[in-house]
Amino acid sequence: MSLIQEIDFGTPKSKSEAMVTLTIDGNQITVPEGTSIMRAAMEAGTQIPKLCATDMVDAFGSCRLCLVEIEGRAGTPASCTTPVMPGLVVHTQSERLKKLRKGVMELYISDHPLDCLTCAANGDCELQDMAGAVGLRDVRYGYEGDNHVFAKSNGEANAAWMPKDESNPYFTYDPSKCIVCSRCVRACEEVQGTFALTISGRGFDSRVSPGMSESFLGSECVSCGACVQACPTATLTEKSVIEIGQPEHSVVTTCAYCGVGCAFKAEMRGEEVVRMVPWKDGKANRGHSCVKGRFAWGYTTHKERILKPMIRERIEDPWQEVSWDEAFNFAAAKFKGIQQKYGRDAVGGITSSRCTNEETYLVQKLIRGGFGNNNVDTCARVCHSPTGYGLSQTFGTSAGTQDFDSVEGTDVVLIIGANPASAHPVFASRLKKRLRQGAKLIVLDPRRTEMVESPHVKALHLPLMPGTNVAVLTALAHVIVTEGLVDEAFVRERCDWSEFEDWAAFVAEPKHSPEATAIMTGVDPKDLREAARIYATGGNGAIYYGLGVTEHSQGSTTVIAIANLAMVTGNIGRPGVGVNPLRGQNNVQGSCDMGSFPHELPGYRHISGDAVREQFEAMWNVKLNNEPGLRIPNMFDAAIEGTFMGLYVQGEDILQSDPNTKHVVAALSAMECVIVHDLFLNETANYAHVFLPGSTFLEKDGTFTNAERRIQRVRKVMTPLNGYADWEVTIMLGKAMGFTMNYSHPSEIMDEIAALTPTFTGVSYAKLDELGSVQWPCNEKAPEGTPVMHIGGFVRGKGKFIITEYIATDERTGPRYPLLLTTGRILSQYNVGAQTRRTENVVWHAEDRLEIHPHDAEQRGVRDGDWVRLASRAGETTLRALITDRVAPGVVYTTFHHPDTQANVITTDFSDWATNCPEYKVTAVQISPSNGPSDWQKAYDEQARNSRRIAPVVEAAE
Amino acid sequence: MRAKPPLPAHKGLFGRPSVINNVLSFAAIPFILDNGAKAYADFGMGRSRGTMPIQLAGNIRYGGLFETAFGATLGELVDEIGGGTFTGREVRAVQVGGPLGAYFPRALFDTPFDYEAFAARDGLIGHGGIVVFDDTVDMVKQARFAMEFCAIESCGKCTPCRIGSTRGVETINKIINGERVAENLAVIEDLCNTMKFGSLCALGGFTPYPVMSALKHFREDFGGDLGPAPARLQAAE
Repeated sequence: MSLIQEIDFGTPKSKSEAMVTLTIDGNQITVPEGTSIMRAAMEAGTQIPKLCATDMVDAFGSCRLCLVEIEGRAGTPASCTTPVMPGLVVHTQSERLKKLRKGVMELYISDHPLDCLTCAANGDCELQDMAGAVGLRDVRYGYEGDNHVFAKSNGEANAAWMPKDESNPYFTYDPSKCIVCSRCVRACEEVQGTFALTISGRGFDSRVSPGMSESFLGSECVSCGACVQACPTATLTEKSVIEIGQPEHSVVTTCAYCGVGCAFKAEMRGEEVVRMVPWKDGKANRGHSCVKGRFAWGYTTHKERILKPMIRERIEDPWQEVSWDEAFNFAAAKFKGIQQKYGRDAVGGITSSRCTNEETYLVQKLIRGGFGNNNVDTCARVCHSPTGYGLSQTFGTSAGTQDFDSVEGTDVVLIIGANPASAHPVFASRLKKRLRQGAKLIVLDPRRTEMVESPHVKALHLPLMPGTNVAVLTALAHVIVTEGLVDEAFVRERCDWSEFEDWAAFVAEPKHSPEATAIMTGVDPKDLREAARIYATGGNGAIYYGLGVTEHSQGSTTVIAIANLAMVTGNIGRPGVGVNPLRGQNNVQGSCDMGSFPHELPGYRHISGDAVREQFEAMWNVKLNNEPGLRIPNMFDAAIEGTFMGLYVQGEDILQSDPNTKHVVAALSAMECVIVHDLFLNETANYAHVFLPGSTFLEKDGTFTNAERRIQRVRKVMTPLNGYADWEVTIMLGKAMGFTMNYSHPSEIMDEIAALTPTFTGVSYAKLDELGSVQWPCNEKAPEGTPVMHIGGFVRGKGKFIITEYIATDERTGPRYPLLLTTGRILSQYNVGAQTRRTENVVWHAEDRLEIHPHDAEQRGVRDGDWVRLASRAGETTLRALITDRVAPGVVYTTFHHPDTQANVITTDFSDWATNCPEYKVTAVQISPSNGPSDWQKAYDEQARNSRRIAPVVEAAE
Repeated sequence: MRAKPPLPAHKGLFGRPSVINNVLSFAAIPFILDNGAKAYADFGMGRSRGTMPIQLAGNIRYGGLFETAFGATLGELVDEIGGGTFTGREVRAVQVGGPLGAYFPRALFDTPFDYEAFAARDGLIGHGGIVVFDDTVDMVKQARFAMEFCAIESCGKCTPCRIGSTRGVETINKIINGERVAENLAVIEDLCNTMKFGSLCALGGFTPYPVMSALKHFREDFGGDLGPAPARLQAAE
């Protein structure tokens, strides 16, 4: 293994199809039109010296090292800013060029510290490399002149010198080392799209500045790391590199946070991670990252990780550390006992959308094959189950239709109930780049999200009342149909025409007009009509949506309404368009694909289908139950009823993440054996009897499938601290229960998946190593995978229009609960926060806050930062208020990252009519001033503390 | 300061094709509309056609703005139109073209006011400004002023201008103080070469003109051992 050195071509790749041939240093080379001379030279293997150029951002032309000579042209043009032309004859090295480059380097070094040996970038410094490349041997200006290097010059304070900014927890900014190449500034603008950085001052005083000379932490910086990655010197450096030193080898792997699925190089020294650097060949992220994947991996070695198996008879007891064998035997005995006493169906399990495809597959295999029932479910139940239902009904597949690259060809973006800037930040950056190029943006969201407020992006924001998605989407369809904006040719060719006619007649009814529905939705009819026209007629229209669509009592209906919109406008089946659910977790797509739902075997095939089931029975050598099992909420209900007594939960904190916490507590407390397989003693573990230590994504091999159906490798870079990867633990648990699963490596599990799943037939580790990633379906028809689905026709045959009647949720506001609570996420924290709360990310978000409109706050005497009591029909909690007009009057908003807030005490049991996906996004609440944590919170906290006790181990005397 | 190409005519304001005109062009338009293009083009010499508004300034008896056809010699402009120095002393140096124009001694007063003729003598017409100095001028300080001007005006984007202008001031100061004059003159010469051919725009690219012309024509003001005159700068782009 060695350190992966990615080639920096200096300027971005040209997308032109016209080719140009020129001669560089005597070699003919053919490149796309629009390519820079610098890039053309690099493609031919000649590295022209450069400092300000890097292929993640556009050419800038400031460092003046990359000058070349072109025959027939005067002067020495910069190769980064000069495009290729047919027949050019370029020389990259000459006496004149050598002298110029040396002259420029001499100037650079005259204002740069000479501490290379003790510098964090030693060995990874482009300035150092260039000084070597141009043969700089002497700096004749001396070091006594004006400079940014020394705090004092000639005994007096040097006004130009600035101290290090160490405010960001993950990287430092040392202005004394800055060469003002503007790569960080441009990365922040062009790659990330935040525009937090600028160059302050002019001339010799020029220096990189976050905002108006603020600290990095105090500025608008979102800590994505693009600037650090772009910096050619030690000016912006990861603190981990400063502390540890330069890495010696690297391994490409996939981020374990959100559904974007960023590819990273884990840069290592031995088994210690030095840093995570986004991989430019990663097809989801194209070399970009966010604060979580780039920096927030410290949880993997956090002291609170549990590394030894533990058991206890009662949840009131302290945990007993035991050997793996004891733990497995204890768990197996309990589960078998439960099945003997309450029946085969009294146990079940929950697969993890955080774990690999292979691990998820094994857990459902253990449940179906080993437990002998189909009581398996996954967290997608509470997020995107309506997506699976809605898209398979209309299109015939349970996944997004595009790859992320598709956004580069989009003209109109419609975002519904998603805030990618917080929850899918790397995709958001790619989207914002397209928007700055002129694509139009329409946002349907109760809140004025970060997407609405992005720099240099103008959004048409439709701030609807929570719970009225279906009414708004049907009104959009009403405008499209009644104003004659239907893509009739597409509908006639690809969809069922008579179903379309029924649907069109339905949406055309006057009661579905924007004007008629405005009273419910709160959306200005003029804006809504404008949005419909833009989406229908503005070119390639793409819909991206999130949990604001699915987590409603009409979640599935909303997904169907979205599919209808895409079909009626012909926005499906080619790059640039499509329907794209932004999947929340790194492998939630994969966990759904792998048969995590009680009614479906891997590949979304119903368990009752004999032919399919028999294939699995033959391969697994076991008889399978043909009845669908229990969904998560059914498991809870059955537990309270006394018929469901044992649960194996891998990598999911259902207590914190599922709605109506009190109900979940009651269910877990009623069970006789809860096995939690996780990194930490999470909230669910407070009610567990067996704790099996989990492993992190750095400690195992496997694959994750992201929101674009992209299967990517997860590669082991260190030995599991707990001893075993999660797939090994599941195998051993199965063995203890008498169910044998024999695999020596996860690649064998993938081979089995490929053999049993038609959409995965062509997937193997060898192919993933070769291609980097593939998007399913990957089979004989599409050996390299399928970036865009439904090209030429829908998977199900004809696209199906389904009528979407708006039915208001039963969760209503009233005199006692007059406000609507909606929940969401923030950039720096991830989901229940089990990981991010154990990183420095807490500096950005140390607690959940309740966003409330100034008008509602004033009526209730609430000031910014005050403790408020938040009560719903389900429960109450307290948290501190954040007064903002991002939310409309009548709407309040909070995040659910912190267990001490317990936002889900408030949320209710209402759920999607088709899939039971909980209605997290609408809860009627009231708020009032409060003195601090509620009694429930205090009692919860005490129970949690008590439950997390671990009995001291008594060492036997020698 | 954006690297070109693309030129503003292809990609300018807001990324759109933009026409950028000098006020001199607008001043010429009424005459051309009135008398026709040929009448205008009949003025001038060589490839420099038409007229040029010339700003006579500095130590000059009749300062002001004069429009005349290209082709008059520098001597005619300074001595005949401008009437020599205000102080009545001998004209020693004339900076032509603006603060980044070259200094010409009396020996070059036969140079016709023509783009190519000035370029052939390492000078420039620039915006047509002419600043006159009498024999009390200290040309090493004028050279330093050029570097100072560049340092003050620099936007800071490209390295030769951002750092080079400051180092230029410092190095000329060393020369003024008599520190290792020959070596530092060699540094200045190299620096001017780097700035002239390495800078992104005309600010850094033209600062060497006043510096190198002062050194070339008025070497005696720079002190130290009078070595051989510095090599002629390479022709501009």
